[in-house]
Amino acid sequence: MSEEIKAGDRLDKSLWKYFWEVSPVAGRKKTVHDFLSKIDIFQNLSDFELLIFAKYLHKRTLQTNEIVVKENSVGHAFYMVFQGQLKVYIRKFDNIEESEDIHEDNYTLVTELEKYNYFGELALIQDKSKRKGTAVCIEPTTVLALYRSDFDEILESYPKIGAKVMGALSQIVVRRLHSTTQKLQEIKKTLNEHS
Amino acid sequence: MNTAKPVIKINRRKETVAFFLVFSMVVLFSLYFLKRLVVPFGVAFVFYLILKPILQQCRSKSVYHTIFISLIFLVAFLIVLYAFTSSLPYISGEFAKLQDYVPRIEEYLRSRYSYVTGFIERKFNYELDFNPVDTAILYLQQTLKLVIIKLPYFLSTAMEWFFMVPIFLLFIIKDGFMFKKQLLKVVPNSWAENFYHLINQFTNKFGDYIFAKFIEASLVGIVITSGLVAIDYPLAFILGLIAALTNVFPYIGPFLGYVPALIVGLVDQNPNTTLGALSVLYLVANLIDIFIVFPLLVSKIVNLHPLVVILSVIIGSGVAGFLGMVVSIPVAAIVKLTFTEVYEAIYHESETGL
Repeated sequence: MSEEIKAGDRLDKSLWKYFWEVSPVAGRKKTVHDFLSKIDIFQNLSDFELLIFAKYLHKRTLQTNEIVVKENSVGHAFYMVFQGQLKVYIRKFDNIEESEDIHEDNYTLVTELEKYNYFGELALIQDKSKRKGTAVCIEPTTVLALYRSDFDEILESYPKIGAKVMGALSQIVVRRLHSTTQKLQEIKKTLNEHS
Repeated sequence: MNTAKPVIKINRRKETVAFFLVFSMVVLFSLYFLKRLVVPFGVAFVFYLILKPILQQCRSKSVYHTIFISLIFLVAFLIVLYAFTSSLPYISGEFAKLQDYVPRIEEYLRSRYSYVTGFIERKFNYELDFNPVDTAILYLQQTLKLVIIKLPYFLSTAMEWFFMVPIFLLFIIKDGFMFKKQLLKVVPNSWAENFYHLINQFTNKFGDYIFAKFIEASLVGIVITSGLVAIDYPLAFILGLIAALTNVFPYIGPFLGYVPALIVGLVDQNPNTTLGALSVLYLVANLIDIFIVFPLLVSKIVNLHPLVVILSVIIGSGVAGFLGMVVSIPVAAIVKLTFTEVYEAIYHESETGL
């Protein structure tokens, strides 16, 4: 049994091929669908729903130091890290030219992303949402992209799958809102204590 | 410019951009030489756009697969074939009647025109030195002659399309999305997101418009034909068809559809031909269109200034004739959308997200 999912594993598989691949008789291969099932947003999706959902994903390969999303640009896609590693930076000042390379003086490292991490999920919910950071690959990376227009298509054609994903996305937004509110309350408390 | 050593020197992969540009040019260049395939493919794509809402409904009911789609096609084809063959005697009868009407219409128009010129000459002592009726009749005769000369070519093209369009349509339904995905792989990573977004906006807008216009024109055609049959008006089917076809022209379409019906009524000289009822019928059909169908289907898709609509139709007709007139409005809407998107992308005039 191979533990690693092959980078070339197809996203648009027929039902029969998928059944064959995951059957114990054929040696139970690891597929992209196994990868998706490990991402919290898709944990409520059944195997069959994941099979349908995967057809709408786009696999994109990037080289070292290539930008996936740029801060302040309008986002139309949600990305999952399938292979490789990325770093997310935010600009320290507003007047930094976009064409510039990333310098420590101008950019702050916010987080590092690796396999099973995802970013840009709000592009699926919010119209013309702006990216809050710049994501750069620090090694050859493969990402799975779900574009907003395809997500709209899922909502129209497979409302059950769309509703489950939308529900999970709402949970993320609610969690973030809750944590932001908590942080604000803490700041308010600290300010009151000092004054 | 920052002089400090960069932590990350951005890899812009200019080679992928260059490859994409060359690839696009080669594809566009090839398409020009493959007109014979591109046009039926375009027709199949328009059919796909009309069928898309039905296909989405099929998929949402978990019944989307090739056999089911093929069955739908077969049933639809049989229904159309049955409707066509059963109404063929009626339609051919109407066309036979039309042959009788054409010389009468010609004679009627000439007599009315000579009456008008005589009236102007008597009243204002001014002689009109141009004859638009003769010019129009001559133009129609020449066009008809050209059509008859090219009839074998048209028939062979129609036969070709009869087989190619359904095949292309099935290909688009079955593998269209996968094909689009494969094409996106050629697009550089830095452009992919915006490119895909724009392409989808383009097809969605265009598809919605074509679907809406198809429904709108069909409804107008059905209402007019049924109404004309009900009031026992001559050439009901042909006039209904003209009303449906002219409906695709904005603003002047309803008037263009009404004029032939009025002329037929005036030529007919039949006491049973009620011009009042005819006018009410066209008025009601177009009021239904303007106040119910248009606001429900079309207005949300095309949010353009009336002047832009008129200008785009004029430009469209100049570039590609009738087809240009039909597609000019969605194309104008798409140009507006693309401009807005590019403007927002450059000036970042949008809301902040996470």
